[in-house]
Amino acid sequence: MTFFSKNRLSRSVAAIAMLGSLFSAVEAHAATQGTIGTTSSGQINITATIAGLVQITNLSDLNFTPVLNGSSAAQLTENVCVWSNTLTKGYTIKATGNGTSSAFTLASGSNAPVPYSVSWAGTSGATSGTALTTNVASSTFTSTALAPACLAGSNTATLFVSIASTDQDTMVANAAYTGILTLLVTPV
Amino acid sequence: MASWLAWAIGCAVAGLLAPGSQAMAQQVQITSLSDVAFGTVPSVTVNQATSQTLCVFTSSLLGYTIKATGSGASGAFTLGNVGNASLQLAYTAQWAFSGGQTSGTLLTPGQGLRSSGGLNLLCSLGSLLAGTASLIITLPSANLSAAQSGNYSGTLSLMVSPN
Repeated sequence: MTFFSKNRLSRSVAAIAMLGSLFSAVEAHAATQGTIGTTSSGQINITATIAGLVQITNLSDLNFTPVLNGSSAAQLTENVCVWSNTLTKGYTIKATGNGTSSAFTLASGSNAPVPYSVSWAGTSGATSGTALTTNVASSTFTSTALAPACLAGSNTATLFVSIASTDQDTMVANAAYTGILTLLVTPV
Repeated sequence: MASWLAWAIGCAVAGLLAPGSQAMAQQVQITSLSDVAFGTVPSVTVNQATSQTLCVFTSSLLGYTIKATGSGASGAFTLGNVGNASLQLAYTAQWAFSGGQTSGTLLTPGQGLRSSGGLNLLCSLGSLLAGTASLIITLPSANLSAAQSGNYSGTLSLMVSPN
């Protein structure tokens, strides 16, 4: 040994280790600390919780102007994305209008509001759906989305909004009718 | 304090001069490890990362090698769903050879990452002095977004050996 005796080496290493142990003792780690040696191993636990989450995207405004003819029901549809990360990828949808008592109606100043109906299908590109009642959660739908906001062109549901021909007949010509439809998705 | 530090440094030098000697085998120790609890992640569309400063003591002037192994299959860095072990949430582990860092070199399960050298002695004084390494655990947003809801847990083992 060039500089120090074997005993001195042991003492110095032990002293360093003891100092480390002294200060480590005041820290309440559940992790496993390494011991001094020719190799040293420690271990930590890693935990994370992901809550049940949903997201509805790809919504766009609807404009009935081009499709109102007064002789047949006017229906607009749009494909939207609903993502759910639960075990079943399930969700419920609750639609709420902004008419009186949350009614699905379009308003036009002092003109009589015009009712509309809302339906929902759990697949994209559907031609019909389940009628929704304002402010009432639907039965469970299942999403096929693999990630939030879906992938491009991979929507998972269809929204239908319709105005019956009889209701179109009550609308005042050239008057602007507007409304807000709020959609609430809840994971199941 | 100066005297024991001198002893330790001297011993390290002695070990370097006679690396084949059993009596002078280089010593290492990893301490100040803390569990990582992400809790309920606030967003799955943003990377979730934590960094901890820990202490690696080595008496080798050539530094040390760190090797990490996860509790996933074949040592993978994955967390298992508590209710369904077949569901895995992959994470990344980075290592920096200084404390207080928020990024480092990506670790590969089971493969060593070698420091460029240096004698780590001061961290043996515990929290009085800065630690000598940083461990950064990240849950990538892509993995969080693709994961099923639930509780996930796993272990990460770190082994240090002298260079």
